[in-house]
Amino acid sequence: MKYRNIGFILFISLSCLLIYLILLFSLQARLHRTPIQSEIDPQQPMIAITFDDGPNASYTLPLLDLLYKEQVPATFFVVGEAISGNENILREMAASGHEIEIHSFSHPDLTTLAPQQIREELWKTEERLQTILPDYHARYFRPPYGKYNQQVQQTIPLPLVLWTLDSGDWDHPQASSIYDQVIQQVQNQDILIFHDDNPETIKTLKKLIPELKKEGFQFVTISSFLEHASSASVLLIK
Amino acid sequence: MKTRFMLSLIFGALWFFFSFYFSLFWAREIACLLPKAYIWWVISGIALLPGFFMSSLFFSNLLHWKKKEYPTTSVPVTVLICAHNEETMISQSIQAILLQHYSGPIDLLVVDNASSDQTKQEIQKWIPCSFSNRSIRTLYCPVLGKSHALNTGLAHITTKYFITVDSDTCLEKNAVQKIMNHIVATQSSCVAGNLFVQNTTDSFFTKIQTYDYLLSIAAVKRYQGSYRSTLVAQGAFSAFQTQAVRKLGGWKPVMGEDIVLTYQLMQHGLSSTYEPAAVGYTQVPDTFFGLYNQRKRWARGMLEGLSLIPPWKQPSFFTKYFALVNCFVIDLDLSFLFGFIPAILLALSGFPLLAGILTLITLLVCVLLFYSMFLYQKKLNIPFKNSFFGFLAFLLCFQTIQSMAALHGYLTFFLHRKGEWK
Repeated sequence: MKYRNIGFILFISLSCLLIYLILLFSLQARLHRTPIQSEIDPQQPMIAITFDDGPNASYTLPLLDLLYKEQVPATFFVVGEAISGNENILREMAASGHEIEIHSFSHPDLTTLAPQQIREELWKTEERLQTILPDYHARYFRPPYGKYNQQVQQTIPLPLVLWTLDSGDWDHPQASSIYDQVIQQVQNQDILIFHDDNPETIKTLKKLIPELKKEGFQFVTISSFLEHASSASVLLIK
Repeated sequence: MKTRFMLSLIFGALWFFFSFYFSLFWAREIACLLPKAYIWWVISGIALLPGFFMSSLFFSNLLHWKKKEYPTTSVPVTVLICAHNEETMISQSIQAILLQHYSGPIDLLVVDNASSDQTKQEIQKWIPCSFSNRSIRTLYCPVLGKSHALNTGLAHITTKYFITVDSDTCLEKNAVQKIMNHIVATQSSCVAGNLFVQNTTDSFFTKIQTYDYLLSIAAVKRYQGSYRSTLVAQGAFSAFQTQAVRKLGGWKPVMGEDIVLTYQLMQHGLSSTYEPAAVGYTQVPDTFFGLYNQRKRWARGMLEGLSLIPPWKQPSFFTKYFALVNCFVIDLDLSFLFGFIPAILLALSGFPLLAGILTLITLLVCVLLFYSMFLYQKKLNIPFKNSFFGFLAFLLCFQTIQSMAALHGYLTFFLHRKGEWK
């Protein structure tokens, strides 16, 4: 009787431990990924894929899975208010080798704000990111709606990064429309803007990335892009 | 009665919907990190369902805070004690019966159930101590098994009511009076008494069980008893109407004979209640395996009761509900073991995903429930031993032992393995 009890307790304890280990390893695998490697040939066409308005609990993780599967590095311009509850997404994002930059705290039109409010939009987001990624320092800033003025330029102590090709996914059209819009217009040294807050973007990228790869495009993050691309100065507002 | 029950259910439902709404965000947050079905199973098992059950129980017990007093009775009663190898404890139990402050006559019937130690001699030592309204009779049952011993005793009961007391349980001096006042006034078919732990300081395991009896078991019995549907009139200390038990043919030869009997009584439309002021001090297992085996038997007994009389065969709405809640206990035990424990380990490894704020809020409801129960028991003015360390250990360890033993019990039931009385 006693040995049967011990056997059963051991069996249950090992089962609990096994469940814990399976969960732990699957989480570790996600959060401690080997970063995406990208060797850039400056002679070959390149594009930078960027995402605004995340992180999003429903869509950013499947997007990260897709990018990791395709080994495509990207840049995420995150909104401070969206960070809470999505901390693990940001950890995975950083571990995968994507760049995380700032897109404001509450997504306002910065041209309507006072300098102090503009500064708050930056540091509040950076502060939140630093609680999750202790070594984090923002390098670029993308103003919401791409709207900025002299005051915004003077107040934000970071280069402002815009885009050259808008996928139009912010309007939530069908994936096929987004795909057509991008594939017809994409050129070498384009910065593409997407939004990781809707399922159509993911559907689009599932088709778009292999197609762009076929056409010989390299995928780069914003910092690599600005380092290698000749048209970078047009997009970088210092 | 129905209004208070519905109010407690509404309170529980409000809690459920609040926690469900909260858990939507929680589940969404971790949905891509862990399997969705697993997440929802764990959330429902460690937060939603326990939250619902505990908050409705808490609210109902608050609505029934005032203890009912019943007129004093002095009707004759038989106290039935069955003993199997209880030479060390039986004398205490008999003495406690003889010293009862009961205004009526007590016929003490002690059944020696095939004991191989000095139990018989210990019982016989007390026979000369009989006096005018405290008589002692002894019987011998050669077939080992509690139900056989109880049925042997039942055949010799001559009073309208009888009380079963375990051979390792000592009744508080007013216990018989209180339980008899209750059964006579309410005409319930059975009344469960309130059990406290006697050997509180014997070991770590007796310390933690002290709080299980004092706070958990008593809270559930109070809740069910408020609606005349106490699911278990435990053999350790309960009062019965002799005729009602005889009509059912006595106790069935199963592991949880007391559970099955209570279920049967309620199936026949009879009520089962609880008397918190009738207190018995019981000896609880002082070793890990003793406790483990006891809880295994209880779990198996619960399934025996549920399989013989499923919830839908109970005529009373309240009994149906409580029996149905018991069905969920199986799922709660499983999700505690395979959800809560891995979740705690994950949280300790830096991933507080499943054991989150909602789990803490549910724990808070649990502590609130325990505190209110503690105050209620204290209000009875019946002494019990109390230690902060014991309570803390109970909070931290008890459910793991309980769920593991219960799961073992469920399995032995499903695999039709033979159980043991002791």
